[in-house]
Amino acid sequence: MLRLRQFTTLARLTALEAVRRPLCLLLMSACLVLTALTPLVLLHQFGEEGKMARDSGLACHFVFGLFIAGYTACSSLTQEVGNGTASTVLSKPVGRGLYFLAKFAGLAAVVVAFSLCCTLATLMAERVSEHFALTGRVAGNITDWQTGNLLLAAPFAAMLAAGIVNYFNGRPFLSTAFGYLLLILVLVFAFSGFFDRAGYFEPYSLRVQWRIIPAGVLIALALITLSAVALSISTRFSAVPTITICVCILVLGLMSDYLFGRHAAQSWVASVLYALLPNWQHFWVADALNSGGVIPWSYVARVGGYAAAYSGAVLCLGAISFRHREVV
Amino acid sequence: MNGQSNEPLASSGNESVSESPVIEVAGLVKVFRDFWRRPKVRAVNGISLDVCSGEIFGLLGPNGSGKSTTIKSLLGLLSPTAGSVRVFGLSPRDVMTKRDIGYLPEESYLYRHLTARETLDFYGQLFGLDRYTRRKRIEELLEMVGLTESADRPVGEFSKGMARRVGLAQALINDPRLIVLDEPTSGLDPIGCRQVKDLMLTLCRGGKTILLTSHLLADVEDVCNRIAILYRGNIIAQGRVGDLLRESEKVRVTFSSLSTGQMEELLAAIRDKTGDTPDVDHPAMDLERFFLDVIARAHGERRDTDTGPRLPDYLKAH
Amino acid sequence: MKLSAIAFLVVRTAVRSRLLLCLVGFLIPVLVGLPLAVEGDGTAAGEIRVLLEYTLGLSLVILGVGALVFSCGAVAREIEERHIQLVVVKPVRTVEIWLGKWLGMLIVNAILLCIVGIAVYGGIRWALRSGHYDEAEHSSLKENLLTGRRQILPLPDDPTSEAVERLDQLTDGQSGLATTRREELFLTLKRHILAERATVAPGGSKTWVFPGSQSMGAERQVRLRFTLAPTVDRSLLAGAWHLGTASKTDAATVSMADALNGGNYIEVPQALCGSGEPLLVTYRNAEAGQTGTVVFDIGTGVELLVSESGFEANLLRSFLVLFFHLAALSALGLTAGCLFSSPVAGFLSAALVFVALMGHYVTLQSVVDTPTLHEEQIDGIERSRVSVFLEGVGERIVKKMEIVVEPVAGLNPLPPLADGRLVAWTFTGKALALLGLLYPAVFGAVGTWALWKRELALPGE
Repeated sequence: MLRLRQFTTLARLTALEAVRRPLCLLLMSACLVLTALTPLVLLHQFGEEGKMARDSGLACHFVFGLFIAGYTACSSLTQEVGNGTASTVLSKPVGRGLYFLAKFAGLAAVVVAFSLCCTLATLMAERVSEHFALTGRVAGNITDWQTGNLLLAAPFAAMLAAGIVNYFNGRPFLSTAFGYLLLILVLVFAFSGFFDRAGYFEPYSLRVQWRIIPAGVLIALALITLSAVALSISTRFSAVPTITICVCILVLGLMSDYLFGRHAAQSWVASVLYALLPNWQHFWVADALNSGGVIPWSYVARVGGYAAAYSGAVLCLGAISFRHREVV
Repeated sequence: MNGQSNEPLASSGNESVSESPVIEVAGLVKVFRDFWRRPKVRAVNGISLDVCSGEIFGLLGPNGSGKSTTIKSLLGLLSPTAGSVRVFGLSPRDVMTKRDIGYLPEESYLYRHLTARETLDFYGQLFGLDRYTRRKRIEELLEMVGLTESADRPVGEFSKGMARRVGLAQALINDPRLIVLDEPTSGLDPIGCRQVKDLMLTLCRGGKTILLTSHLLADVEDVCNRIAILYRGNIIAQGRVGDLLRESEKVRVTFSSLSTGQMEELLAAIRDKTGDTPDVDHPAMDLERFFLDVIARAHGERRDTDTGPRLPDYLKAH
Repeated sequence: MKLSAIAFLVVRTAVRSRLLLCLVGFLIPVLVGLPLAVEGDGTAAGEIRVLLEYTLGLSLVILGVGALVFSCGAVAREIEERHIQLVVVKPVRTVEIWLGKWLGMLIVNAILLCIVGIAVYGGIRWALRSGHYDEAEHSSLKENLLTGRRQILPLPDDPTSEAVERLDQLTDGQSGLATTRREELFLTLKRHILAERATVAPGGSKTWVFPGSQSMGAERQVRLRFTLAPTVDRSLLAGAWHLGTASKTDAATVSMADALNGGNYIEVPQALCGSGEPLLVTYRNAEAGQTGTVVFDIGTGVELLVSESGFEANLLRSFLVLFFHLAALSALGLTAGCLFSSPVAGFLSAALVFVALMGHYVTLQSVVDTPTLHEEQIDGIERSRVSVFLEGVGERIVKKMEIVVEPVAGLNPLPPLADGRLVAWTFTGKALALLGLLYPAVFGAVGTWALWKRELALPGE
């Protein structure tokens, strides 16, 4: 029970520290604004608007998530070891393994929250995008301006609300804005169900493409895996080398099939590298949604297993590395 | 009497304190504001003080009393909310003022990738010192702070005390007229503390002005001519150390040795004369003196031959 | 001395914090791996172009990002870690601090560019090693790619007046046509006319007029290059090229087949160069049944290329221009670091560069393709007022940014370098003036002011 309490305390603190970094809120807001802007500016694209909004949302989710996951993971442990916070914590009856895993849990929680926001935004962006409608009330291409405007305004509304709370109650602006952003997105999402795409009041129905969710889940799994990799590397290296190695692993992982996969049968070196490097292509399957395609949950489960196994292995190495690291 | 007094050692024989103020602070107020420009903390609340040339002035106070804020306002690192600050008659943000100032901050904010020698060389270049002068002064300063052997190690690998020594050295590289020391003995062992105090006294005898802050009251008492005590941004006491500490309503008499019989006779006579029963005890040396004596004995050196750190020639009295 | 002290501090920090090493670590796979992995089109020229365009281009993206991020941290991290307190209390002006940091960044950028330059040039020499290409390929590379040729375009063929005429004919009587529709139609007509003019049907001909120039002197090799549209079937073409001047028409004739065999190049006789008279180039297509329709590229249908410089000098000038690009980016990053914390400064300056470049791209597309859509109704459906407002705001922002971006947007030396075209000293000089001096000066003024105003000892700084 004590260990569980320690774990949750450390994880919560890590998550709080992460969301209190200005860059976290900036990246999240930028991601959401870009996702929201895409369907509002891309019009008359020969019926491809929905696809473009969806792909744009998922791409922003992935790219900005990489920055958030990589930056928070790289800097979290390194800074705490560097400024002595880690030694203060570890001088208490807290095991190093528990401390390390709690750090990961905190970072994963931030990534999950970010992914939730991005997935909601992508669902709404796809709904907002221009579609041809033929109903009793409208005939022609329509864009759901109401939902689109609310989605675009969400980050600014969250910051405004957080600013007001900071002014009157003194609560930290950044973490408050992060929380409000998540809340406002959920509210906007729920509110949009009362209206159809033309903005008319209709029986409640969310009118989104639920098949986007598995794609969002896969991206979240990729980000969590990258966090695990970055955290484990940061047990031994300072910020700059950690980021460098993470970028290399990211790039090599994206090209893993091309660089190593096609030679794996002939070369044992290629097969070992192919197995060791995380294959990010498993997590990026946005193209499968084209032409009405669906990503089966069984695939998501398999990739989830891969992510869990890979992250687990990497975290084990990281925990072992951290166990033997001097933290003074 | 054994000559023990509350007067700092600096005052005996130090004739170089002049009345011309090096630092003039009048009504200094510093308010830290939040993002919305609302006042958050009133760190300094209208203090006024002058530091004269050739003296050692101590700023004391508990944590959060405004000592470091005052120092940083003097150096132009913070802008006063109200009041005025003059150093050598000029604004502290004036570049000309800074030629004659040496500053040791409370933490040694040194570049961890540079060696001690490179650190001093870098700061020497910022003062425009030529290469020959720089090299000479660097070697002398490294020897003074006892880091000659570690001169080529990165500062990032140093202990806190060693980093402090480098910080002290960089504060002196330009032969400053005014030396500002924020917690100068923080992180130093007792020998190091003693050496820093001796250094301050020597520098003061050479005509330098020193402004220091410290929590360690014994350090301040030993070296300062005048002190100011801050509390919550206000000066609540200011003046010469001896004047502030003297308990003029009491008298203490110290004998070198007395037998028991002589003691009782003396006490009886005092009781007859004054009606008071005086307190009698054996005076105790302070822990610092005891520590230094023990260490000196262990090293096989005599205490009175310890001449303290060797001061570079350029820092000696002109 | 103060500037050099601060500059060398930056260099030492870059080296000892292993940042330089990490950047070199990023560059090695690009410099070595990319040419090995990407084969181009299988020709010698393709292999060299991979080095010059892709390898060099990607290296510069890495260097640009590195310059931006490192320069953001150069001041911001010093403020966060309070090193700057010990510098500011010395007799150093804030402008000297900013300049010293910038100079240090220039030195780091120069070192990295040298590494890239040596690797790229070494890659080219390795590709040219004996036995790798045959004599013909060597010769072709030296004449067409590994050189610096000044490009002379024909006198512009402005379709505007014809487009106006046709528009009036088409819209005669339709006064109610929306402005947007007229603009769209006008641009479409212009494109149509340009395409028509780039097409030579069987039995037809087209003439290009090149301005006369004494600088096409007798000592220089002058060649005409033509570019066909990708969809043209070259095997069906028959016709002839006629080169001459007003006084000497048909001074030279080359068949299309010979021109295609010569890699789309035609030698211009020395007698026609340097005369000062405009050069007339006419293509006469063969009759129907003997040939197909020839469609030239609308952008660069024909061009004259005058050999002016060797490849090494061209490469050097290109690298100078790239160095100035990095100098401007470093200045931007330093200024951002004076205003914000390190990660925020990096994000904002990267976002600013991205938005500026995207805005420029959108502007180009708007000028060429799409008229501005300000109307509140499109196709009879009312647009959201918010959408119209956002579009207006976006347009204003892009237009303002274009004032800054447009002068430097064309200062990219990679396309001409990869095409064997000259990167002239005037081009380099313009890059120096704008990217090396003016923009850094503006950034520096802002950064210096910000650093001077800022209270560097605030708690939590």
